[in-house]
Amino acid sequence: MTAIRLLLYILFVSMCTSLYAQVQFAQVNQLPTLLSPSMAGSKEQKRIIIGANNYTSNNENAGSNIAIGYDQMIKKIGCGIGVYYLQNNFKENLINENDLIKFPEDTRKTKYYTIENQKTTGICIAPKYNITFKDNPYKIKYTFSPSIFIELGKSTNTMLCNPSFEYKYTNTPVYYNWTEVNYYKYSYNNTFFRSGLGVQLNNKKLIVLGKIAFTRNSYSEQISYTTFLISTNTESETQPKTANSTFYAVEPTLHLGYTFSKETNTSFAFTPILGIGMIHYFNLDAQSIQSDSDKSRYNITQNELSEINYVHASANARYKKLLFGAAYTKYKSAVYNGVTLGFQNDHVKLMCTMNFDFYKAYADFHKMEFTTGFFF
Amino acid sequence: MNIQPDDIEALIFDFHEGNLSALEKSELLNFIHLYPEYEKDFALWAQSYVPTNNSIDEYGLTKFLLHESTKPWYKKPLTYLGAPLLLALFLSLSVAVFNTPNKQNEPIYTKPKETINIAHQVSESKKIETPIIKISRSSKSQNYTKKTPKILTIKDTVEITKTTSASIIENDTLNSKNVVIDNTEVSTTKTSTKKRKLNFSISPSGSFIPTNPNF
Repeated sequence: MTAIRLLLYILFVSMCTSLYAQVQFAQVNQLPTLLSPSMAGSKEQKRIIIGANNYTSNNENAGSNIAIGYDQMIKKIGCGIGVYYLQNNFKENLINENDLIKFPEDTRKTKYYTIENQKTTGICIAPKYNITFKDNPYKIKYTFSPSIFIELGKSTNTMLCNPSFEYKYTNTPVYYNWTEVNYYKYSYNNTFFRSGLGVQLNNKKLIVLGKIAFTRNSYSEQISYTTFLISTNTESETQPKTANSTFYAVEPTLHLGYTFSKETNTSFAFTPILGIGMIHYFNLDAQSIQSDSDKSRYNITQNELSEINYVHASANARYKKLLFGAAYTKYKSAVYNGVTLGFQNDHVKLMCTMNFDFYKAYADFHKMEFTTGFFF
Repeated sequence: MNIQPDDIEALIFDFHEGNLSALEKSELLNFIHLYPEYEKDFALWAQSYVPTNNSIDEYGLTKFLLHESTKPWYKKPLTYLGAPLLLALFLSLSVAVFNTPNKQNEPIYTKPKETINIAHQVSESKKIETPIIKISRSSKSQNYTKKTPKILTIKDTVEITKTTSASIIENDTLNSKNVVIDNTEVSTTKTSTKKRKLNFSISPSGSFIPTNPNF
């Protein structure tokens, strides 16, 4: 039982409890306050951002994200402030399709057996400092903006998985009994508090964004062991066991962007953006790790886990008011990529992203993303 | 407009109230210019006039044009942090500069296609009772980009060995060798461009560089 709990715990930590500190969008630059709190007030105008994406798959994961934010510059105190809200939904099947026929009929009808929901809300403040020339203090060379942010969030997860899952993650042979099926019901409820720092250095063409987030997770989990007898079509479940625990995570992120153009308002501009992020967990409860467990995937030590969990690359071009390009974001096991089309003027920036298979009529993977920013 | 002396006061009043047209204003000012005795009245009315609203557009320039009051140096918190750092930097630089032995005989050969013969042959060793001084000369050429000159630096190292019977030996590694500078394009050393110093403002500012609209 301990081994199973450990496996579920690893799964909980590494796959489902991503906690979404990074931006789960292909067009990350459209959601600036989520990208880095230092972006609060980075435009001289007030800004409202809205983003939504959805991806479905026949065989893989599925999910959706919604983000809303507002930020503005308060010139009196030279600080930008921002508030934002992010809602995530993540689904994955951990029951092997070959074994599904042996499950109760009600269970078979369910489309996804792992569903996670997360809600996050945050506030940030970012003062703007100028780096000027000494001989001309009115000419600004760079703007430097450190920032702090606070986030509160909650995530819930319900999960069903069967021994094939155990086999998948431990390589331990599992012998099936065809007269009965065993599986686990697992759920958790996690409340997290996240705070951190952000930095931004920019001039008219270059932008460097950094962010480091410290998260305290307080979660309670519940697990029960269920046996389904095929012959009698009956299901028996053990008394659920509950456990509460706390663990911590630190997540640094870095983004770089540069605009290649003669002037910022020329008819054509090309802006590549690169980003990378990692996560490191502390104070995990994993007491022992099986020697044959999949260490290479999770890089697990006794009480810590770290990995590069976020990669972003995008090529953004603008011709007059038309936007086009391509974007790729990988966050944990989810990939958000596609070609981008959009429109931009002084008050609106609309972008739409479709995954690379959008032209295929029978593609397995469908994804659509829509982001917009209003400036006033 | 025919301005009569009886109307002048009313017109000056209207002028300051803003009730006159541009043409009337100019005519009134011309009249006062012609009859300076009314200037005193005009000035008195101007002083008694209290503007209610500043209707001049701001355009955000006031902040740029007005000099902000700056704190004296001893009130700035960075002084207390920066002063020890600067002192430490100054001391370390001083030590680095004054501890470095004087470098001599480091010519920079800049003339193109010139064959440089450095041949110091000592005809004979003079036997004197002084320590052996070995002077070894090594040459090093640095390649730069196409338009920068190739600089030849020659360094002398001096070794002193204690001995009773000594002789002066000059061991020249470039002896009887021709050193050719093959980069012929540039004959002068490149002068470094002066970098402009940057200043970091310690107070947040409402005027800043907004992020690139393409980002």
